[in-house]
Amino acid sequence: MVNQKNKRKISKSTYIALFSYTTLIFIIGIFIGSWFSSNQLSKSRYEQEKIKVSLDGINLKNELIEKEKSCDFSKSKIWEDKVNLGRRVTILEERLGKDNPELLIEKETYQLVELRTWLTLRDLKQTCNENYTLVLFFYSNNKDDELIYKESQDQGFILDELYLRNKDTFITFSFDIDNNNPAITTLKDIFNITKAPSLIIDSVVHDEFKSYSELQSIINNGQ
Amino acid sequence: MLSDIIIYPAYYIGIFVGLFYLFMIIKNRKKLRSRPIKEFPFVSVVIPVYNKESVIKHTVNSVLNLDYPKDKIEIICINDGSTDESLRILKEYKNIRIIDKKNEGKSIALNQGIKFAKGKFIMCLDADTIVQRDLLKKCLSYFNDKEVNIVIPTLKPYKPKNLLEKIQLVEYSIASFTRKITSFNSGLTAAPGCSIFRAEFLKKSKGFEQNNITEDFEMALRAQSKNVKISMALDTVAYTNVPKKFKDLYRQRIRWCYGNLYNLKKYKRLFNKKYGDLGVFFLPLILISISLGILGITLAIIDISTTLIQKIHFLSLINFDYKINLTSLSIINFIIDLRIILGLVAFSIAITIFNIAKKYTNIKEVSLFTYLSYVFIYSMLLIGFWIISAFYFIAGKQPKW
Repeated sequence: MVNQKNKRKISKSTYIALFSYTTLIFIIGIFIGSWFSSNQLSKSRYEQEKIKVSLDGINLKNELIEKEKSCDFSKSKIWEDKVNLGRRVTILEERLGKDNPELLIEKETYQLVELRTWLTLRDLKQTCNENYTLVLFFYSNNKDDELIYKESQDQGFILDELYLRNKDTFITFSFDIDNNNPAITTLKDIFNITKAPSLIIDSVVHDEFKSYSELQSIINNGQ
Repeated sequence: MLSDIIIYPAYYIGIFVGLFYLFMIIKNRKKLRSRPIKEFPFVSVVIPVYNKESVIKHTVNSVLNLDYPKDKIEIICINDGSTDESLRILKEYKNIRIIDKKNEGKSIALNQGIKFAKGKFIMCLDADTIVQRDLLKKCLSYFNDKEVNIVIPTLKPYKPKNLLEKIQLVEYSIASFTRKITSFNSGLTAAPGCSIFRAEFLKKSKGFEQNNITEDFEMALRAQSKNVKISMALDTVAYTNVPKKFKDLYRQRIRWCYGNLYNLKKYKRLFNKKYGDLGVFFLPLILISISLGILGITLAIIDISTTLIQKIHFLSLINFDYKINLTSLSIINFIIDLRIILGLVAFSIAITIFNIAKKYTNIKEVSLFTYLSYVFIYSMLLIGFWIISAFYFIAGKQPKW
């Protein structure tokens, strides 16, 4: 009954076939994954274009009227598009990594769109006497300085939470302090921004971390 | 995330193994059920008994009720120095042979019984295990293959009542099904509380190893080391009493895991291409699964703790004034990632295998909650048991039970 001589079989062909199938599944998975990523990037570009068109529309309309700027614009639409775009960029950052070259370009473009949105909304706020708070937030993604990185993360989280609670009256425009695009550099120069985290709330600079309560009080007091 | 280190190798191995099982199911789909037996050889049923007064009657009765000619079966009960009423209960039966001895452990008791067994086949049965009526007829049919020396049935918990027992029903059923698939490639390494042996093999092998805490696993590995085939009858069941409380489960599993590690080390020579699929696939798979499980759960715990600490920190920043943000649960958060895609593939394969296993092991009565508890909680517990046992094993310290 004991078969000492019985040669044991190795199902080599089965293993090779299954190895190929598993590898194929992985390759297909990688392709689908990158397709989703590039799809998200395209959507992000599309949303950027949408915002640019909306902003151009508002700016052109105001230029045409010249003397008396029109306050007839859909703030909530621009607002919503900008927030969605920001969210998409954040998710892409999580998925593709903060150093992904394609994403870095996307982010830079996004920050320029943000800047344009802020300029338009700032003008309209003054012209139309609107009651909303515009916050420019300078953060650092540089993990070399752990404290600054952590404070930037914390500040970003607080600003997101504040937006959630004040969706119609509060909006943040976030900029990477290491972004050396001429427009962003000029913005930093104008407000003398040298460190992160820094906030510009309705043109007033706060160059240190602000707690939830402090920011709430600033918003409630209209500065 | 730290767990990313482990997630891709785990997916790769998981998908590979899943496909392997699916392939084997398809290839052997006609062999999943037992074939009827043509003749009835003499069978000895050996039952070691130690303090089993509450269950021994059920066990003996189930053997007496087997659908098998009564003159072709003998029952040998070895009372292993029971201090309860087990011996008295056994003496109530006139048609069984009782060997009364001092307590020396299960293996010695079994070997004693084997020595007196006259059957061509010997069924070694735990005193708390109840056999289905058709068990012998179905199991014996596999001995038509002369190379088969051990046959095991499906093992299931006896009348599971509480959640822990029901979860073990799922576990035992899945384990039985995968054992069946493994047996097609001569990779089966189990000879649990109800196993039928060719008497010649058992006697030549000098029975069970004494003082081995998982003597059944040792026996299976020993059989494999002698190129002996182990088969499985999936469509007949032996019902065993499983732990009802976590404490008992913990003790049982630490003993099993420790014993398995001990025996794997003892038979490390089986990790060799000389032993075919067993040596190059099934045994390495056991070790890889244990290692990945331990590593995966450790990293996951680190990741979860880090995330949790971070979440608490974030909440403290907003004075714990939390507001649910539904937009963050948007679909794009889920479908974009390679991990999610591979996870879905692995999950689909697992579900398919599980549904086939369900069909062949009749576990339809189990609720979705039990399944989910098995997948998300119990499987983690099992890995936890492996971790603890591995610590004992590495430290060279035998756990107490």
